[in-house]
Parts: sequence; structure tokens; C-alpha cells
Amino acid sequence: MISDSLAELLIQSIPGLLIPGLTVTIPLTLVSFGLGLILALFTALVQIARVPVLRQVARFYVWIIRGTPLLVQLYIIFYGLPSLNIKIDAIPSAIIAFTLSVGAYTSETLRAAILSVPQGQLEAGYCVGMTFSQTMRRIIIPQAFKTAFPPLFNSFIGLTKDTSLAANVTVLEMFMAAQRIAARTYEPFALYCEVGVIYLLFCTVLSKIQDIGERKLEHMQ
Amino acid sequence: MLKIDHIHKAFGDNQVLKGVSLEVDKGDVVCIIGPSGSGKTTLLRCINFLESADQGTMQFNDKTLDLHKVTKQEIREVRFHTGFVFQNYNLFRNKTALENVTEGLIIARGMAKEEAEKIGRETLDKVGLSGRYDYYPKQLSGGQQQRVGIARAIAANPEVIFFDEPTSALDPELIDEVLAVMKQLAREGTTMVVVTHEMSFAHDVANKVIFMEHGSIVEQGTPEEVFYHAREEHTKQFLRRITHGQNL
Repeated sequence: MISDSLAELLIQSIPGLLIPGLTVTIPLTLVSFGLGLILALFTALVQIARVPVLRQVARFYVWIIRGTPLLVQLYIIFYGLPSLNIKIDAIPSAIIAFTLSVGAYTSETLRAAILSVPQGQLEAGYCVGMTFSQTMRRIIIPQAFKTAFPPLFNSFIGLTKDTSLAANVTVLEMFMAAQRIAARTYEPFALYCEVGVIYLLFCTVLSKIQDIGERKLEHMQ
Repeated sequence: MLKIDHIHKAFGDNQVLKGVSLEVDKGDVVCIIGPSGSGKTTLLRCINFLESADQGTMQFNDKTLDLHKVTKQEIREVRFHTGFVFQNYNLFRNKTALENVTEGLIIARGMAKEEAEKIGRETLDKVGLSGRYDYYPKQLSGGQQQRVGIARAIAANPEVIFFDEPTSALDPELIDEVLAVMKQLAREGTTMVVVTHEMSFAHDVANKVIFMEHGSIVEQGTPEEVFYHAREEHTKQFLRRITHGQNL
């Protein structure tokens, strides 16, 4: 079915896809997700603790980010902000956009998970003399994390694929690498299928890691 | 030692506590009895600030607090000297039995880990859970969980321990092991305030029994006075209903 030359192209292009995959796509995903989680935790906590003003800011932020396309946000940051004399390089632009996106979506995951921990756990913390933040840190958040773990991993897998949007703002990640090879060789079908398979492989590995993580968490409690 | 004056609490239009006053002396075992919805649990929760009272004062040791305008620091101070045992145990689900006991000592009181663990083991031994230090709550029976709950409450050597219906969530065959621990504490002179439906416990162990109904204290006195010589018709009716006319 597949001609020899096409098979050769597919094999030869593997390093050209895998290298940007491993050196750009994966780090971009990890950094954005890590920063996004910190932002999400903060966003969830100010809402749960009903911190005045910050709570409204958090709701507003979640509303804006969830209500507009990620691609539009990327364009605003990379192509739009320079007209306000704010120039941000391609990779930092992508990290900002992805972090904001992860922060908004997973803050809702974390908020729901924290609220799902029974009120009695907080009361018990108070009764042994702990403060709100001590109880959150030691008791509530560890329990919430177990609940939040599968949906968080969902977001993580989603982000791995969403980083392909960064190709639109000149980040040379895995999908842009595929675009370039496809343009050079006139084999778009083969190349886009191939890059799709590599994303699938990445996500399959992540799913396995999720399974292991869930089993570890099950043992913990 | 602990004196509560005219505590009021409403949830919306529902007046749950209508000016309840109560005094606890060192070494007292005070049992609060009464029908469901009489405000017993709310009273206990207001005293430990798990609910904020609408008005009332508290005198604890030498300090007088306005229950409605109390600061976080004052609340924490009171909680450092009191223990609380919950109806549903509320053990920290992500912590072992030992960690449940040591958590408050280490995190809230800044005690060294080794010292806290020594106290933790001694306290668990005391409630008969020597072999269960490293068990998580879900690996323990209800009776064992509640005994960990008691160990957690007594570990910091509080001046008074509040029990909120400590046996109500337990299967009948597990109630006695928890009551036995409480009786032992009472014998050792621990000051306790117990909301309970266990009339024989109130009868045998308490030195003061309080009967509450509709958010007020209807009657209080020694077990002898309340159980056998109740002045109020409501108290007699309640006791007849709950003991089915049997002797305690």
C-alpha cells in the first residue's frame, strides 16, 4: 500500500518531529501546567475563603478566560499587545496564554474538589487548635487532591494537545515542525497523520502515568 | 471554670437557643439530655465557636468573652484548652490514627515530633488502640474511630472536653467500648460536657444533668433529682418516652 519512498519519509521525519516534541511541546506543557496549577489553587482558595475583592477578581478572571477562545487569547497576547507597546516573545506569550487557560479551568476543578471535602474535616482541624490555613494545607487540600487528580490529569492531557496552537504565534513546537516538513515534501496527509500519532503516543503515556498515580493515591488513604 | 451566660442563637427565624446559661466546675461531668431539635448540639457548637452565637458571654478561667464579638485569637485560645468529640468522629481521613492525635500537637502547638508521637502512642494506648497506630480511619470500625476521636481530644490535656452525641452514629454493639473510655476519663476527674441520648451513662456517670427543650434549659440537677424527682412535667414525659418506663 505505502510506497517505499513514503515509508522512508515517515521514518526520516520522526526525529524532526520528536525533537521539537520533546524539547518544546513537553516543556511548554509542563511549565504552563505547573504555573497554571499554582494560579488555580490561589483562584480557588480566595473564592472558598471569601476574600473580599480578590474573590470578585477571581470570578472575573475565570469568566473571561473560559468565555473566549484560547486561540484568540494567544493572538491578543502575541499580536495584539505590541500595539500597546508591550512586546512579549513567542514562547513566553504561549506560556502566559496556556497558564491563564489552565488556571481558569482547573481552578473550578480544585474548587469543587475542596468543597467536596466534608465540613467536619475543617471543624476537626479548628477543634485541635489549627488555623484555617493550617487545616487547608494539612487536611483539606491533600484530600481534595485525590478527588481532583483524574480531572486535573484530563486538563493536563488536554493542554499537551492545545500547545499545538502555539504554532500560530511562531513557536516551533511539534505541530509547526510537521507543517514545515509537509510544506517541503508536499506530503501533508502523511505528515499530519504522523504528528497525530505522536501526540497520541504522548497522551497514551500520560494516561498510564495517571493510572499509576491513582493507584498510589488509593494506597495513601 | 466555665460559665456560659444567656446564649442566644437563631438560624433565620428559627430560635434554636433562647438564653441558655450553664456552669461547669473542674471535675464536673455534665450531661445534656433532651429531644432532637432542643438545641443541645447547637449549644455545644456555640461554646466551641463552631457556630457563632447571636449573643451571650462566656467566662473561661479568668477571661470573659462576648460570644458575639470574639476575635480569632480569643477563639484559638479557648480551643487550645478544650477538646471536642464529634458525633461522626470527623477523623482526618488522610492521616493515620497516630497522626490524627499528633497533628494538633505538632502543627497547632508546635510540639516536637518525637514528643508528640510519644504522647500520641500513650493516648492511643489509653483508649485501647495499641495495635492500631498506623491504621487509617477507613480501616477502623466506628467504635475504634470514635476512640481515636477521644484520644485526639484528650491528647493536649484540655481543661474540658465536649462530647457531641459521641455514640449516636455507632452500631449498638460498639457503643459500650466508647462509653467505657468515657467512664474511665470521668473516674480520672476529667471535666466533661456530654450531649447524649445514653440515659444510663448520664445516670451513672454525670454529677450534673441538664434537660433541654425548645432551646431552653427546662431542668437541671443531680442525676437523682432529674431522673427520679423531676419537677417539670416535660422532663418526666421525656424520660418516660426514652426509657420506656424501665428503670435505669
